[in-house]
Amino acid sequence: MTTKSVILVILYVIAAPFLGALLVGFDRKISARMQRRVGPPVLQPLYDVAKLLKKQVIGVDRAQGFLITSYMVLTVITGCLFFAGVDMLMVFFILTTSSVFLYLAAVVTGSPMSSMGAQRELVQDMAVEPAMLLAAVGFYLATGTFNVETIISQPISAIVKLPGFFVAFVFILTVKMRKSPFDTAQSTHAHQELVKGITTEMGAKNLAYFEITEWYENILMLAVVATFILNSSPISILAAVIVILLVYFLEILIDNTCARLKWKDMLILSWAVTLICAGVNLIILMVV
Amino acid sequence: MGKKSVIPFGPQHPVLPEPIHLDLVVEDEVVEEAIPNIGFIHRGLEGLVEKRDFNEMVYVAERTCGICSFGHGMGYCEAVEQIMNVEVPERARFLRTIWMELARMHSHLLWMGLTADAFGFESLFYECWRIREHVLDMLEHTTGGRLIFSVNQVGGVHRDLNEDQIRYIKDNLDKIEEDMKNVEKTFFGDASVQKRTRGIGVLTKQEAHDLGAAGPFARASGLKYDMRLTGYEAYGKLDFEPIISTEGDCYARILVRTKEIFQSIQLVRQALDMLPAGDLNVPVKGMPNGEAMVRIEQPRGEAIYYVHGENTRFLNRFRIRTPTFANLPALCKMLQGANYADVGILVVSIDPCISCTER
Amino acid sequence: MTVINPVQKYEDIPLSELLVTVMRKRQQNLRLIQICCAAVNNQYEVLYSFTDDDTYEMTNVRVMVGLNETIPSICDSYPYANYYENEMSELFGLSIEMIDGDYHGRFYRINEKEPLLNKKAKKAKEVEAEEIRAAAEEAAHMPDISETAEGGEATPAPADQKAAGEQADGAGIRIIHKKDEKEGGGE
Repeated sequence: MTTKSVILVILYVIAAPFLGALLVGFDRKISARMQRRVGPPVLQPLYDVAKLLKKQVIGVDRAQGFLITSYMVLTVITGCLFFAGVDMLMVFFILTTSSVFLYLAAVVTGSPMSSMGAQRELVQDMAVEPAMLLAAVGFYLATGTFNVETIISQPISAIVKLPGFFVAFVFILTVKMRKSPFDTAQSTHAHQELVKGITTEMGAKNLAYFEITEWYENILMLAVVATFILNSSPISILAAVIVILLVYFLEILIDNTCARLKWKDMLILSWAVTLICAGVNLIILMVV
Repeated sequence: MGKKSVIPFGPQHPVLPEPIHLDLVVEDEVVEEAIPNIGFIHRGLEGLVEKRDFNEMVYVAERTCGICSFGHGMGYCEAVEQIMNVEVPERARFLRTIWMELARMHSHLLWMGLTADAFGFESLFYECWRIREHVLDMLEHTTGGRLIFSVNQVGGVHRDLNEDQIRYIKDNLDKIEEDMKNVEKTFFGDASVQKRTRGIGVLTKQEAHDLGAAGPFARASGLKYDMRLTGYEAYGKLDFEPIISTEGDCYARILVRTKEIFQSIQLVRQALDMLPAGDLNVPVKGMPNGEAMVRIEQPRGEAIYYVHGENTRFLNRFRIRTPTFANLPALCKMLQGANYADVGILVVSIDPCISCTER
Repeated sequence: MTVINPVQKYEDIPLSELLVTVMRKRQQNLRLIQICCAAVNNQYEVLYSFTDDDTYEMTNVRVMVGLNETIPSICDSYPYANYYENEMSELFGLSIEMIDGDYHGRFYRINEKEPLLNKKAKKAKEVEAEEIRAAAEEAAHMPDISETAEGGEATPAPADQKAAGEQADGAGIRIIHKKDEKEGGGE
């Protein structure tokens, strides 16, 4: 545990929610401009969460508070571990565990909308898992280690050897960030089928924690994208930032130009892309 | 999973324009049965015949619904005019036709936006409603109101179109036609839209007939009903063919309604070219004595207006049979065996106007 | 096919012929488009409208029914008629039996009973219901007296028929006393 990693972890814990909120704010502003609307101010997500924290808690079930807080804490720990530079595979596994808490938090209320959203959330996790794990495996094959710190200090960027994994990961990023065409479980704008999906029965503090956790998770996912780009030279940091912003813009663009697909299509598409892109890359890496 | 649950759909649901309650018996995300329950917007407007005389009932009839408002006023006026043997002047007939077609355009554009929203495509939703603003501008320019504009009266209309307004309408129609061509490309060409609408909610021609479906919903299943062919108002002089599709799924319904918008643009242009000079209305003397039943083609389908008067200022009975009421049984049949994710789209595809249904 | 000003026909039939007429319309493949109920001259006027979709011809079948009479449902011929019939029975108080999918007054969830029936007709309906109830009670008591007095059993029959003979057609329809359902159903 070097001082560098300690500083990074502290930075992550403090700055990530604000960065995440800014990203979401820009997302909403850019989407609105794409739809010829003015859109909310960029700091709107922060205002929303501040308001949510002030509201009275009318909880359906007290267990929900505990579960959401667990979800948040686990996700933050995952992020910290990642930024501390430890084992990437472990990071992905703990992330999966935290999403189980989200599922439980939605199901514990017994509302039909919430339960159906939770079921779809599980399906979403299933769609996302292969690509994430394969990404970790790819890093191992390319650099010889799971350790994040070592991966980013390689002389060459990992993406040179892992283009297929990169494509697969960006593809499932759409699912992870809950954007059309893959926002069946819950999404920022819609509401059309399940009222609000998994967050239907979450209000006040719980919803605020959910939002904040989403920000932490977004930053974590974008950091993984950056891991593909970062190498030992400092210019790569600039390149990584540019790539992250481009990828995020791509997500917004896809969101605004697609209708929502049903969970079966999402599953099939995600696995197909993962298999083809990441699978081919894997074979090449193992053979060459 | 594997047990039946009853999911309440509505009355407040973001995809519904108006409140209706459906109890969906769902097992494993497949709907087994749908039981409708209405009454959230029931105002008992038909009971107001006791309190408003037959001239004032036009305003009540128009306020049955915001989207189909002009049609209701027109249908009521036609029914009373039939009872009292009033001959409406030609110019008034053409003006009514023009406003009716503009109302049809705005209603279909509203519906297209809602459908796009129902399958999660928000940008398309906003684009359709932005085009609709042009139509509403036209209506406001010529009548003063956007949705509920009272220009009908028993005996004719009480507003006219002058040269400037006619030119304004023609320019706006060109603009709308161009914008519609872009939107049409997305609706018919986009892959994700196709995935969500093709093969969903198929209703065969025989089923649609047996369940009493009406309007574009029935025409999308291959039934050729269009009340405008009976030549009421100025439709007898206009040249058009009803738009039919044979597939009977949600995609066919989108197709029919989109093409009807283009057809309405043509009809308005024809009517504007043929607009004769003349009076706007004739004075109406006496009391309605007798009964009449009038059928017109509202944007959502065939609407029936039954008026019964007994030689007094207050009518005895005024009944509207709205197209959504006729499409409700078909909706319940379509929902059986449907995927839960499709319920929103299916409900929106019959173009529900619940405030018309419940009056 | 354009049909300008299509034909409209009105048929007046007695209640006994309602089901047969509707079945005939079904045979001719006509579509039921609406059922309308109105209170006219202290009677219910029920109007069934059918249309032929090729010629746009509309046929209206009118049935005059007493205020306390029951009419059969036409759901066997036209399964979607149940919504119209539920609406009529809830808003106007017309009693219809054998509806396939009867909401029992909970279709529109409204507070008042028979809100669209005007006051005059409501009063007439209550008066008539009272008369029928009184006549039925008399008829129920009559057999005791006639048994002790060994009078003829012809006495209850005419009194029963007289009180119930308000129908325009007098076509021998048995009136089902909805007395118990009415009192139990008042919420």
